[in-house]
Amino acid sequence: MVAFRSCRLRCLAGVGGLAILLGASAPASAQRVSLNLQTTSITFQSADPDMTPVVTAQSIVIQYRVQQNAGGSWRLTVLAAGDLISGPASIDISNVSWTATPTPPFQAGTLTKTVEQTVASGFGNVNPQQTGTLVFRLVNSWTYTVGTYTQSFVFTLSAP
Amino acid sequence: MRKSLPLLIAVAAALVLSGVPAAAQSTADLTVSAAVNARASLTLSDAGVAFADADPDVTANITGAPVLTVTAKSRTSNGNAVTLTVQAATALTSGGGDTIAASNVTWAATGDLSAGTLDTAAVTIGNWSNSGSRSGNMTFSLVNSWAYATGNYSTTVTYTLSAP
Amino acid sequence: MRAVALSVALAIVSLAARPHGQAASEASTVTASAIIAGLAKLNLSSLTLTFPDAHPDGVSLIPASGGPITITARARATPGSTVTLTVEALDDLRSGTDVIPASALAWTGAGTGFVNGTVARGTAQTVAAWPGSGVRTGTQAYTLQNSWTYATGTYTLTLTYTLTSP
Repeated sequence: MVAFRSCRLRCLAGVGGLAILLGASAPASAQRVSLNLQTTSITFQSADPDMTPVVTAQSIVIQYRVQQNAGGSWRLTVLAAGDLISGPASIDISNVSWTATPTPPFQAGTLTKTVEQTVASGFGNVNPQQTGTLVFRLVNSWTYTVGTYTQSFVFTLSAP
Repeated sequence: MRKSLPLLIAVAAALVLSGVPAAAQSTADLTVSAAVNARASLTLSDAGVAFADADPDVTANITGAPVLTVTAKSRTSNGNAVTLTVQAATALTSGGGDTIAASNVTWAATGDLSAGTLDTAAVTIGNWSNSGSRSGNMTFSLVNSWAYATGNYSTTVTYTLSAP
Repeated sequence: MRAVALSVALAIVSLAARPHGQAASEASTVTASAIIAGLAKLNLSSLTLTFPDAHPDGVSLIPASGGPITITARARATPGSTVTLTVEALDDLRSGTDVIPASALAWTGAGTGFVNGTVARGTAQTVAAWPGSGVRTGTQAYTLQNSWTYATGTYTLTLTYTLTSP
């Protein structure tokens, strides 16, 4: 639609502005998401595999908010950047899993380095901000080589 | 309007390389015990020695055959004595009742054994200390004489190995 | 009508055509560390080994009563290292002042990494060796050399096993 702003002669003496608005008449709002992890570094301490077959790390508190998402779905996923690595040695990332609360919308799972895994999901808005807690677990084993292994996990909150 | 851009929070990993102990050891003790009991084993190479008839003027002493090999094995407490004796049951006696005194039988010995003269009392042919295996050969001799009555004479000689 | 010079500023405002419901996402990274320290654990199926008395002429090598000892070695090791299991006698077999040399004891090993050997007083002897971390199991069948020269008595000796994970 093209709108003209007609002026009297006096107003035309100045600079006239012709505004042409293009595009559909869409509303100004869109989904908004907010993700905050209170812990960004976790450690699995060394333990005797006979006494501690599964080693847990410190918990991660996740704060999340989804706005302007009426009727839409939202999803929090996690993806490992690779296996746990220490020099030439590695521990397959599938040995790392997590438990989560509250369930729902959170759910337990096992890390992979290829496909994002769902940590939490839902529909609509999450407002005000909500909180969930994850505890990562590592399968312990006598076959692991001595060393300090590291890897990054990327959490992504999305409202597609 | 919020931008849809990923927000990365990079945090240095908590590496604790210097604090990771590497070498580890585990030990276990195994207690071994072994029982050694007193034992004695006596072996004679033959069950009998024979003296052939001979002219007393030609053969003053008749050598018995075969040469007897004696092996005496024993376990005992340290410091204990081990003895081997021989004893004739009777004088050499013939079927007709004639006798030849056992003292007419002597032997020469080799190895761990001692020479001696047969008797109806025990005669020591070996006297040792502690555990061990001892052996030697015995070559018997019979004094020959015109005074002997004819006949086949015999006696039983008993060897006794003692290891307390 | 006066001609009017118009200075027209044509402003074309193009709004991003955002239909309702465009995807929004936000990401955050957690860094995980896993500390794997060296560790060694040794298990023997029995902590005693007994040899009965036997006739030296009939039994030159006396087998231990109860059969072979089963050994389980658990170890976490550094990359490229060798985990070793040794056994050592600090003395000979002793009954009061009487002695049977420790070297009268020998074993036959069975299982991956296990080897045969003879006990040596004052020197650790290799029982088994393996590359890197893991759980390994094998057996040792001990024998005692028999002899008429042993003084009577009950002899004892302590064998110390050491599992080392570098």
